[in-house]
Amino acid sequence: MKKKIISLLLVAMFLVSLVGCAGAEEPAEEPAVEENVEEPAVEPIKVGVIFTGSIGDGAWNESGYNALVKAKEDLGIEFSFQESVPVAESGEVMRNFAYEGYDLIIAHDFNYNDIVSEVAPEFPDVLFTVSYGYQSTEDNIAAITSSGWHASYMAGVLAAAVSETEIVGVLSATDSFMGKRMRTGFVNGAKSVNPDIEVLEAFTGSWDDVVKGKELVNGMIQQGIDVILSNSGNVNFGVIETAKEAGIMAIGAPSDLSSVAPDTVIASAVTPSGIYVDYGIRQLAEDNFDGGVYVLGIKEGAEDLIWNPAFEAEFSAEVIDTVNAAKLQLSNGEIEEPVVE
Amino acid sequence: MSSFDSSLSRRILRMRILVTGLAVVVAFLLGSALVALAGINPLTALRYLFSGALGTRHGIGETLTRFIPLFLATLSFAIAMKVHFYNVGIEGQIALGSLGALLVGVYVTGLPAPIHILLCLTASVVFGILWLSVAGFLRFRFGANELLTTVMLNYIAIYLIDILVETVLKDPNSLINQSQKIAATAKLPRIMEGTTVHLGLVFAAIVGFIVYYYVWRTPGGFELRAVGANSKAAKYAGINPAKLIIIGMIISGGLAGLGGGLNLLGYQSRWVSGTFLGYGFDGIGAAVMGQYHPLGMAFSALLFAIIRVGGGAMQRSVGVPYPLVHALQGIVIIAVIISAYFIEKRTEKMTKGGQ
Amino acid sequence: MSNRKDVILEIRNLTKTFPGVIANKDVDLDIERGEVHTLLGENGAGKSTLMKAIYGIYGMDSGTVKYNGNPLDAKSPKDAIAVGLGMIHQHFLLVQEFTVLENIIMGLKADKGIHLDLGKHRSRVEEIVERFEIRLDLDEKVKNLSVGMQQKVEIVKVLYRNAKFLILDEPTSVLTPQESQGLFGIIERLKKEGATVIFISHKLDEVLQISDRITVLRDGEVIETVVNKDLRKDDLSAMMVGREVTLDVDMPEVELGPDGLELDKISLVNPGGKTVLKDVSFSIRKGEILGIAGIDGNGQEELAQVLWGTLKASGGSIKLHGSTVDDLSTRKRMDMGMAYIPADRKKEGLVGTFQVSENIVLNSYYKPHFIKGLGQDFGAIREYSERLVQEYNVKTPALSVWAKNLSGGNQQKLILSRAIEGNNDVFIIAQPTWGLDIGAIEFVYRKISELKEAGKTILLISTDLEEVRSLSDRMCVIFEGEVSETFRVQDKQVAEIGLLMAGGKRREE
Ligand SMILES: Nc1ncnc2c1ncn2[C@@H]1O[C@H](COP(=O)(O)OP(=O)(O)OP(=O)(O)O)[C@@H](O)[C@H]1O
Ligand SMILES: [Mg+2]
Repeated sequence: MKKKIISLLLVAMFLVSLVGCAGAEEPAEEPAVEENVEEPAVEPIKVGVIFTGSIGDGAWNESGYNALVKAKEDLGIEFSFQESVPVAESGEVMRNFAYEGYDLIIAHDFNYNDIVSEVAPEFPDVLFTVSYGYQSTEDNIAAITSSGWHASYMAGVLAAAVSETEIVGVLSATDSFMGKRMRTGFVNGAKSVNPDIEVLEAFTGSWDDVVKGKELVNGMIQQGIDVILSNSGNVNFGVIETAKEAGIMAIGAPSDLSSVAPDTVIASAVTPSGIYVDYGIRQLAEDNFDGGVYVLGIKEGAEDLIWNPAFEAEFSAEVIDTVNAAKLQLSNGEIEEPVVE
Repeated sequence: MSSFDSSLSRRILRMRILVTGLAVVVAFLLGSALVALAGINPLTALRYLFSGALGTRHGIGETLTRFIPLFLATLSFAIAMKVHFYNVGIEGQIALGSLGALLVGVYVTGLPAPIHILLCLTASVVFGILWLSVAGFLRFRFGANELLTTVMLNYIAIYLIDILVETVLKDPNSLINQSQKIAATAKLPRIMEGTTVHLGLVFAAIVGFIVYYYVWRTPGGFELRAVGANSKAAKYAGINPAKLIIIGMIISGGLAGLGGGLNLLGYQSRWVSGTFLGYGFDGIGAAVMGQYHPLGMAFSALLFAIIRVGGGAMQRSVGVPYPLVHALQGIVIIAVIISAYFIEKRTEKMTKGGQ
Repeated sequence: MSNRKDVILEIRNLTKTFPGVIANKDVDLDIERGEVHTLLGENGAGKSTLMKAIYGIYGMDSGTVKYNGNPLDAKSPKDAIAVGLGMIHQHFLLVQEFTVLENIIMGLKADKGIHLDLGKHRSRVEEIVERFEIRLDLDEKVKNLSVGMQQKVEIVKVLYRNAKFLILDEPTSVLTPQESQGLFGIIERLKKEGATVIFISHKLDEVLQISDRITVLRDGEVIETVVNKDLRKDDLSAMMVGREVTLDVDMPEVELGPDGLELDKISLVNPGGKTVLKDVSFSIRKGEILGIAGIDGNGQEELAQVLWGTLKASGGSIKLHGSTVDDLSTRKRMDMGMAYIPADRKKEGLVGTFQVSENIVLNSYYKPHFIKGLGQDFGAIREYSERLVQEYNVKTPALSVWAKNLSGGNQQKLILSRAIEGNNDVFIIAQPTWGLDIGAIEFVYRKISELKEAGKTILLISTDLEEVRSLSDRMCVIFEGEVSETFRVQDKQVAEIGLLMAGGKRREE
């Protein structure tokens, strides 16, 4: 009897896990490699992509996947991919792609960087890119990353331009190098508009601690901020909620959060991930792939500030112009990189 | 007399293999139907599944590499099952076993390789046991059902090791949250040129044999089985059931920990934050399918390894969505659990008699 | 003669085999309407199997069964119940936590939707209970009932499903003589109501008392059917075993040695705080048999367990061969030569899903002669098992058969064999003959007398007063956890002992 109950329980457990999977199912995509109808003059470029999660995640992975589909339309490449590859097992997937004759392997997460460095030397004829990567140890590795501050710089410019209290705030999840660089970018942007502006900085220490995020921002509001940039994962939602309650403005990041609170979020400092996929493919298609670390920014479309259309219409031309001018300066490389100690 | 013995047990064995095989076939048919619903030719997908896992040297290597922790997970589950301890916490014990091997592998240095490896594996066994004993303690002290505690301990274990890797164990030279690599002396040597197959495979085979021998051939195994089959009668025969349950738990935790250790020393070399291996969960299904017999479980663990590796190939080649690959495995497990129920009834019928 | 024959159940050429055994061979049997028909046969003769085949628990290999003239091919007990059969097994299938009424109506179809009309059922059950004069408290929980009462619940359960044909497989083996008489009263009532009963028992007195006709089975075949008229016990045993059997044991005169087992004020309070044993003291000398008589459930089971070390006494002390064993484990006591034959062989004596040979070495698998290197010496185990199975006439098709598949009597023989052959010298023997056929009982008695002759110390616990009286040198009676003074068997009359068993002594005080 007990045995029966146990086996039923086990069945139930697996059913639940099944349903869980089914729930995560992404929009069905067509088979990746299709038999080409017409003989192409040149062999199409074969691209293999490794994702950490589902291509239907509505965020990082999905935008990478969309870039792939677009590259297929625009450049005629062939691609296939493998989802939900844990870092620990990603080396084998890369090797599989290499054995299967792929020209370019895109490891679409910076966590794959070390593994790419390990695998790439085994396949000198295969090219590797790491999205948001940080190091290139071989000629056939391109680590493609973003400035990490262009978008927050523009957010700082915007914040200073619209602030009436002349106090603004910025919140990150971590106090890591990247977190600090993002915040310093914001500070520099704000000061470039109004040298006297006061910028309050804080970090939650977690991507999920919504309560702490709310507390921190509430503290800032007490001190008089009227604009807040939050780039801290799920904490963002708590921050935006607090901002809404206090009637101050918020800037979202790293994706477009205007729809979360259309009356509060004035713009979003975005870092679309598609560009990391696209960049390597384009380089290869144009036959000028080189190893190395590529830092992309506003100019390449790796970062941007997206308006909430409602506010864009509302703000004065002066505000819009100030932001656009900053964007131009960034594109031209006229702004100095923030110094992080 | 003996001709009857062997003919009956042979018939039962044949029935078991047949029913299990049938369940797997049915599961694959159902899986194929799902694949077809996704608009993909299931035959092509299946071809890639098997050729991906077994068609190339590299594929075989990958499959065998995955087989190692899976097989140990099945042994772990089966041994605990013998004394009716439902250890569904193997995933966590594997994680802790990995942690043990990692700590010794990274922070103990200057040892000759064989000693270093053995030390690492000892640590992984001990860590696995300790982790299971938390559930054991809760059961014996407070009567907490191990089905619940071990499941929770899985999540705690994975969370714990991630936190460690993100803080004190974090590789200072790395930008991402991962531990350092284990020292070269702690690495299990590869045993198949050009693949990831490592010496752990040999360890796993030896351990599988030892477990078989222990359970079916030694007085200790006799006690273990007696307690599992009728603990009251075992007690009346002078066996201490509580002691045997504890022994079963210790072996179970140790085997799971060892699986984690072998995988870490032979394959992963480090722990990356966010890693979820899943061998513990799959191992439960594979153990049921293998009917808790080491040989049967060797086959089922291999099948599960094939699905894992071939599943990737299916996605890369014909774009079978990842959740479907996962679902296939789930269907196999369910089919096999259902078939296990039939097998039990059938065996009962084939051997039962009057009073 | 043929004109008054009204056959309700007709069995023709029924054959049922198990791997390696023919349990029933070409059985032809007619059961007449309204009779009590007894199946008699040695352990393993095929009685239970025949009944289970008819009842749909097993399929049969070949043969036909007709019930009321219609073919009955029961695929499961449900089919048999549907036409009016009801079988009561030796092991009751009751839910301990439920009340009597709940147990009786359990599993019935709901009247409307999922609703069971308790009131309606109660009055119908009450009607049955009244009609058959069965005394039962419908609201008592089953766990509080004695074995005899539980059996009545089983009977009412069957009657409530409109059974007109009852199969009772060894219903009396766990009942006291009084309880058995109660059961026979019910059977008589049933007969009056026109019901038909198949009765299985090894107790020949009962068989003679209750049966109209008796059919003897041997090795799966029907030997003969006789009308119960002018029959004596000897006739029955002769038909069964093929020779005359007497249970009059001649106990050898043995020079008694020093005390082998001494109990000093053993007491036991169970976890519920109830006193189960109170100051139990006695001693048994080597070469002596001390019998404890008493109605089941008066502390016998617990006393045996305390002696065996599976229960810890709350007070008092036990000496084995003169040395205290209170803190020793069961295993240590075994190693000191103690052996125990538990009453409940299925739960306590056997591992059902272990092979016969594994069960034979259940107490000795770890001994050096069964070990080779690190593992077991399977050759030695097989040899030893083969010898015991043969010597004790344990009927099994193979040593590798699961013990739970042996017939009840053969299970008991297996347990006896391993205790007696284990080189032990202090024996606790509980209910040694429950479920044994008369030949086997004779055999067991002989074995016990041999033990005595060899100077062993023996504690015999039995609910069968006759058994205690005929085997023991001295005896005592246990009632509600208290043991009477020991006395020599010939010193007290049966009536006097019976009074003690019912707690008479106490009431006097
Ligand atoms: N599954 C089985 N495998 C082998 N032999 C079996 C099996 N089931 C029953 N038998 C054998 O069939 C024979 C008949 O068994 P059955 O239980 O019918 O005997 P019985 O007459 O009821 O005996 P008892 O008086 O001991 O209860 C026995 O020899 C028994 O060992
Ligand atoms: Mg029987």
